[in-house]
Amino acid sequence: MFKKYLLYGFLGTSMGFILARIGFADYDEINKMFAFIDTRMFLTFAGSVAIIMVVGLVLRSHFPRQDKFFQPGTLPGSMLFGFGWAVTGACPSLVFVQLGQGKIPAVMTLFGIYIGVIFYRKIHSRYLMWDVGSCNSA
Amino acid sequence: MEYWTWWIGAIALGFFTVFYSLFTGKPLGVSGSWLSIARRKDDAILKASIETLARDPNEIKDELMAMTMAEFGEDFAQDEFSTDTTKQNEFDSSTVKITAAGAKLDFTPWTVHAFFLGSMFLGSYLASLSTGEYSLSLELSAMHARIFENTGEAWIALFFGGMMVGFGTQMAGGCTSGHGLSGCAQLIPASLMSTAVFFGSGTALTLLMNFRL
Repeated sequence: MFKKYLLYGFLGTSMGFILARIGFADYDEINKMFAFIDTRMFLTFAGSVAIIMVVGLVLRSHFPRQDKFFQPGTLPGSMLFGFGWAVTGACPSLVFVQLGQGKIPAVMTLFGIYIGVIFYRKIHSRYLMWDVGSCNSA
Repeated sequence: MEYWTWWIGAIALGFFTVFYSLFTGKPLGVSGSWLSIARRKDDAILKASIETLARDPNEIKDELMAMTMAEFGEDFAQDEFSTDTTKQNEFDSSTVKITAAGAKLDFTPWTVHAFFLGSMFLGSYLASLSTGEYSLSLELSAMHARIFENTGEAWIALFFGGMMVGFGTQMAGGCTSGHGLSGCAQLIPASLMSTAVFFGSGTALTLLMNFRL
């Protein structure tokens, strides 16, 4: 189990460092991306996807498959996430990057994300109950 | 902070995602880590189930078969699973194959997921220190301060925005990493649509907010 902490700790630190150096957690950069003022972030994202795609094809026998499928929440959930991203400049990982950069207001985003996740799980288990296939949860 | 050019960023993020998948055996998906923390109380049940399956796969199989019979009736189970048509009345669950038997079932506790998320904080802090630009700030950014004119308004917006992020990513079954990076790279239709929608809605709201300025 210690190895697992070590591995995920290393991966988390690397991811935080990379996202910070790209500028993904900078609200101004996110705003410029969404407003089509600067294409740097779009190109970074698209370039990353292209690299993962090529390496994934080359190493396809070793590469884990993503388990994603259409479900009733795909469209409204994605739309809601996009609105939230535009307001906070954060996705579930970027909020930690913002905090690491000393952005104190991101505490509110962190708190909001946690409440949002709990709130959705409660609604889902009581009323919705479809399989959302959320990734990497076990 | 002077940011990396797009191609350096793409190489770093692309190869990081590849290494993450290869080392953990799972595609990158941060909303899954949040989910794991949210349902941390289920960890004990999940761990016990995996241990039982690893110890005796037939125990789980018999439990599942008993539940199937209780739900759909004995006839259904016999019709669906019995391979010996001459012994329809003597159903034997050992004839049912278990595809998971012998498979290595991995279990990552919620504390590891929390550690992973917390490590991102450290990585970002180190990045800020390395460029000598770390500072505590009560504003998210200059543009954010222009859009949300007073601090109270900005903080309330961040809280509700965060709720939309948390609720939305769980509802959509993924976020920028799960749908955007991992899913799009495998050309999964749901991920392609999800990514197009969250980029689209983010763009629409940003243009609306900027228009007000």
